[in-house]
Amino acid sequence: MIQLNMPSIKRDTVNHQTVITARVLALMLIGVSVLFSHFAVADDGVLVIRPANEHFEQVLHGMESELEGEVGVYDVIVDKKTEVASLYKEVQERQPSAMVLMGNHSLSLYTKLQEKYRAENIPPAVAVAAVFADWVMASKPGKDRVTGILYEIPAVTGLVTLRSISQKEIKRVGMLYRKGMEGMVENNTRFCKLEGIELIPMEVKEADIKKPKRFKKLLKKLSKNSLDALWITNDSVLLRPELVVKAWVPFLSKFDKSVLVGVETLIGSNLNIGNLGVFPDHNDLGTQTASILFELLDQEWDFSERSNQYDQPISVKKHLNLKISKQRKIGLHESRFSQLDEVLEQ
Amino acid sequence: MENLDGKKVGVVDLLGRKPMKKFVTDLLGNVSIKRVAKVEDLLPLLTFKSADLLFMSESDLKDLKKITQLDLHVQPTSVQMALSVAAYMKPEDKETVSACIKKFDENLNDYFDVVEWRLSE
Repeated sequence: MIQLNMPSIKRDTVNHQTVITARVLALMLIGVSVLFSHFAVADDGVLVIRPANEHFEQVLHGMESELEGEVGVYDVIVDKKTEVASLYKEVQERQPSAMVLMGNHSLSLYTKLQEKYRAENIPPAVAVAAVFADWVMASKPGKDRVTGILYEIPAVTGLVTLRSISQKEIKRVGMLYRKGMEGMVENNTRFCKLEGIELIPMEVKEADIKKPKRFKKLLKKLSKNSLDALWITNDSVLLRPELVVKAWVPFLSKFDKSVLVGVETLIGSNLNIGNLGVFPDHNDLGTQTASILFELLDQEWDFSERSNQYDQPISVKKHLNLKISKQRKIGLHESRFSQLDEVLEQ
Repeated sequence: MENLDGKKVGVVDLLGRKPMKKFVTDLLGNVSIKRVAKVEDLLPLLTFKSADLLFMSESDLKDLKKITQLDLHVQPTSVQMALSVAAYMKPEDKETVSACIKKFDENLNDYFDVVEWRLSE
């Protein structure tokens, strides 16, 4: 299934009828583009590929607000049933200067598109809101035609805030990572070092992931490194439900330090895991995407300088769980809570 | 002031893409700009090397220094920005807008770099 949203259509009212209207409109525009093909080629437009999702809507909104009047945006909603051929048809019809891929499914569809059709016929792409996008693309043949923004918020962004609102110093922060994530660990270590924070990474072996008891032991071992805080990365393998229930939660029930997380569910009082959560500001992520597109527009859509290069996300939302902080007896400067977007007291 | 040609300058976007670019290049020369929506987003620009330098007010710099341990090199400029202005669209809104502004507390006024609001007819 594939849906096309034209910019002029209000997204919250998109239903079957409006989609059909959009298709008719699209066909009319294609007719015009045949007549004025030179104009169509010169016109700058991007094709957004995304699943239907509230966060992606926000990214799109931020992006469109910035691009309005300068770069056209064609929004294509995809799902698990979307066929590569129908996506290729959209590319052929729209002739976009670039594509914007939101989420990992869109990234996967783009890779298939490149595999099935000649890569040079597929426009280069900007990947956003896709988990470990650089890592996912690293082994793909079309990686050189993709740039983007990482979805993972670097630890330093949250740790600087944590240090500012904490009465206690934050100097040593522990984290777990899997093999293959060394690049991410290296970048985060470097960023933290700039702020005088030492990241203490510990590798998790396959055997530790399979057995929650071993995983919990590893957490205990990590905690014996005189840590001031713990950072939990958004690695779904390390956060699979069995590990959360049998390792993370029991371990953290006895951990009296701050825990920085990047997933909204992990900051809820019911789980008692993270007391500070730092998440992407999706609207501003759209603005940041637009600034990459403007940069590329200025370079006449030449991706060579940005090839396989991923920017760090700049704008975030910071939520503090005050209840968990109090339970762990973490002293905080309440006068500095204006740095936070939300303080959860329940 | 040292030559900033070719540098990437991080700024809070007050005017929109093109006017902001013009505003900053008129003041600082042939630079490229990295715009952010919020003051707190300026620091990540430096940390992640998305910008070579930041262009900000003295009061924002003061706040920035409170939270970061980055080794900042500060270059004061002689640039004077215009004062904050609040306006009403319809005459009948005058009282409502004035009453609202009078209620601004110290924190909010600090945010606007305002010491005192004066009514101008």
